Amino acid sequence: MIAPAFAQRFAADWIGAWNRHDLDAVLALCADELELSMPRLPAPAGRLRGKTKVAAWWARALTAPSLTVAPRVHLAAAAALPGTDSLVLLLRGGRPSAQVFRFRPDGRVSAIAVHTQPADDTETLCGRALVSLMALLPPGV
Amino acid sequence: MIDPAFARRFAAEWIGAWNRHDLDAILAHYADDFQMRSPLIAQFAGEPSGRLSGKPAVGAYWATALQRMPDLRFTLLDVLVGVDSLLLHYQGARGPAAEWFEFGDDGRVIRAAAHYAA
Repeated sequence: MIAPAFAQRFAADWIGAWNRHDLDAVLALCADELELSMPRLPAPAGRLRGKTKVAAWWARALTAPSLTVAPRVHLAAAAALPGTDSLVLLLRGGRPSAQVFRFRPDGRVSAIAVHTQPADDTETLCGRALVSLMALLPPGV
Repeated sequence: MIDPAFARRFAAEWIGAWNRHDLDAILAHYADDFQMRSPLIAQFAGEPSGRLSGKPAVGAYWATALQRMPDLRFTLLDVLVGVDSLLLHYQGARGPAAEWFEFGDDGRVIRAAAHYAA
């Protein structure tokens, strides 16, 4: 079971690290075998495997100079909802989205599945920024 | 990527089935051998892992839940899609809840996990 106290502490640490744009602190919460899945992620099957690859993607998202994405990366949690062995963070501060986290026994994140409002009503800043970010990535990432 | 139209239809039908307290309609969304994970299974079904598998076991657990909560009613708040999963954010009997679903090729749920405000 994910203990409520763990869920609250993790949510505060995760959102705090993102809002400081402190990638090292974000990565410190994650296991080496980290897997990220996200709609429109420019990777095979919408999935990146391994902490190094995920970190490279996040670094771009935080620093892409032509997009001014960084100031937009501000997560405000609406709620942290624990499950048996997963945790859902419902996020606001932009369009509603949710991140589903799986954890290793040592408490580090092994998988993150990002869920967003369906694409056909997300043709807004967020969708356009993601599409633009895809153009920045080298082939094969 | 989960198709948006499929996601919305699934959400409406799933919430509707629960609000009618129609166990057959609820279970029709799931594969026969699906796995359900929920903190409430650990609390109420005598299964410390919080996991149950298959329609007979999960169906019996849900039947008990519907009996225990005759006023149970869900209000859908958000339909959120992932690469190969769906998340429904709804207001449940005990407050905010998020149910995660993974689907088989035939569009039925093979794995689901419930999350509740602590």
